[in-house]
Amino acid sequence: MNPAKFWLPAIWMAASTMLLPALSPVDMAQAQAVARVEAGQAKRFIADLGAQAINVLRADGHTIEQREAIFRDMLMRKFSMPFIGRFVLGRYWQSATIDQQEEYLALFSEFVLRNYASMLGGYAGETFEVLNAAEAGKSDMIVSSRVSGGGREPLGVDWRLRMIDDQPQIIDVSVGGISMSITQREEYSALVQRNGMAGLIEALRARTNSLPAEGP
Amino acid sequence: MKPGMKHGVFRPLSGRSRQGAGLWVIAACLWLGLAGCDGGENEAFSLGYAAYQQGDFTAAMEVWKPLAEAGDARAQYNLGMLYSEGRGVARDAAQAMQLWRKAADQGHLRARHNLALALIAGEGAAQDYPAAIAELKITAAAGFANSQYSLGKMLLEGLGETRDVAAGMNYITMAAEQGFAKAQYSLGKAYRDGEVVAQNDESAVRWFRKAAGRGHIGAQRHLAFRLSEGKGVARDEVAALKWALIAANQGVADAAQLVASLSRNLPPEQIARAEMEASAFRPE
Repeated sequence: MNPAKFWLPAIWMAASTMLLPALSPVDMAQAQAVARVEAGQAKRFIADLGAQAINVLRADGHTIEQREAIFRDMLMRKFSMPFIGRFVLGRYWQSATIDQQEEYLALFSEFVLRNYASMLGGYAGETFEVLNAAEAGKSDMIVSSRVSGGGREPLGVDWRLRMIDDQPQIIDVSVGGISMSITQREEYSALVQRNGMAGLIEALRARTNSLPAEGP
Repeated sequence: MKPGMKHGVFRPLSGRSRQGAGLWVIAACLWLGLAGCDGGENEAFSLGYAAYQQGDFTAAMEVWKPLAEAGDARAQYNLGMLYSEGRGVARDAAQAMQLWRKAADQGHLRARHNLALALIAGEGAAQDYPAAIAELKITAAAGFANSQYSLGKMLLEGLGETRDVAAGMNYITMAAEQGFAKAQYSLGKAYRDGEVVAQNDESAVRWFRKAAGRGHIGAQRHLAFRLSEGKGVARDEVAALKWALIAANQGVADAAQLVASLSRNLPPEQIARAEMEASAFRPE
């Protein structure tokens, strides 16, 4: 199996994550005033994510849907969804109504968290390994990790962290060097151009309103 | 955890022997002909579901695939889920769509619902709003709250059909009355805004409260602010703090600000009560 083909749709393929700050000058300007997440803190942050994933995904007495819901709640506190959501929507954010912005952000967050939870919810025997942390741009820290086992070739996952409201937050994830946010930005731009904000919101609603697998 | 340490992230394989038994049952049924094998098919389907619940998607696929090929609508639906979400197999939206179509043609309503959503999102096939609405009307009439909600939103937006506010609100109300939190929240906003129904703050709070109780973060946030302002409901800063804490704990920034603001004004015992109620909260 081609690992990239397996993983990338689940967590948003994109161009290099290094493009992210360049496409967000306002946020970059704001970020210059705040401290960078320290390397050790960043690695612990991501290592904790892996450890918590184990606890949640191995929890007995819950269905997979319940385990993934718990995991989504946990992930929500690790990601800066307002930051990512606004970045992905790009220039269309300003032209959306307040209600559209709110609905988009809620659906976008749910869609992202569903993808991550389902991505990490299976694959027996996989391991998660934190490798190192490196500074990126003027304000960010990128933690490299590797997922291996589970019948797949090892795959590099990079987590871009920024200090937001005095807390480390994930603002982008790259798989195999490909950022999720930038591809999503391109996809959403095409959707808005075709069907307007209402069309994008309906597409996100559709992606978050499917029914789960049927039991016996 | 130190860098370089490894965590076993996922559950170990634990259903192989049962999976093998399931495959044997299926093989025997197929060899002997399907007549009289209903029990075996059900057993195999159940084994596949057990593997799925354990996170062993490859095993689930191995069990469900022959069942799906033999025409089992439930297996077709679940196999479609695996392809749609890329679990145990490369993600393939077109394959998911085909499987859901086969199941829907046999009257499987969950498959029809997911098929409709794929048509809205344009995943696995070209986007087709009118076709999606036609499918959703069937599943909404069958009582699926998710379908009623999606259909209501499509009609309110005028996507795929001429905008029909009355019909859209009717579907959303049907879903809300079944306890579907997103629909309850939508009704709360509709009564708050007064654009598609007569504005009514009390009704807005009533629906926000229902959705909040079911775990809807946006509704929890709105309810907190409404309670703190006494808008559409009697002012209750302790209850406001409880809901603000619940929303803030899920990352809602202005709810955290409301927590800080309320905490400055309330006596310690009332803050403690709100904190206790917030920590005891479990969505319905």
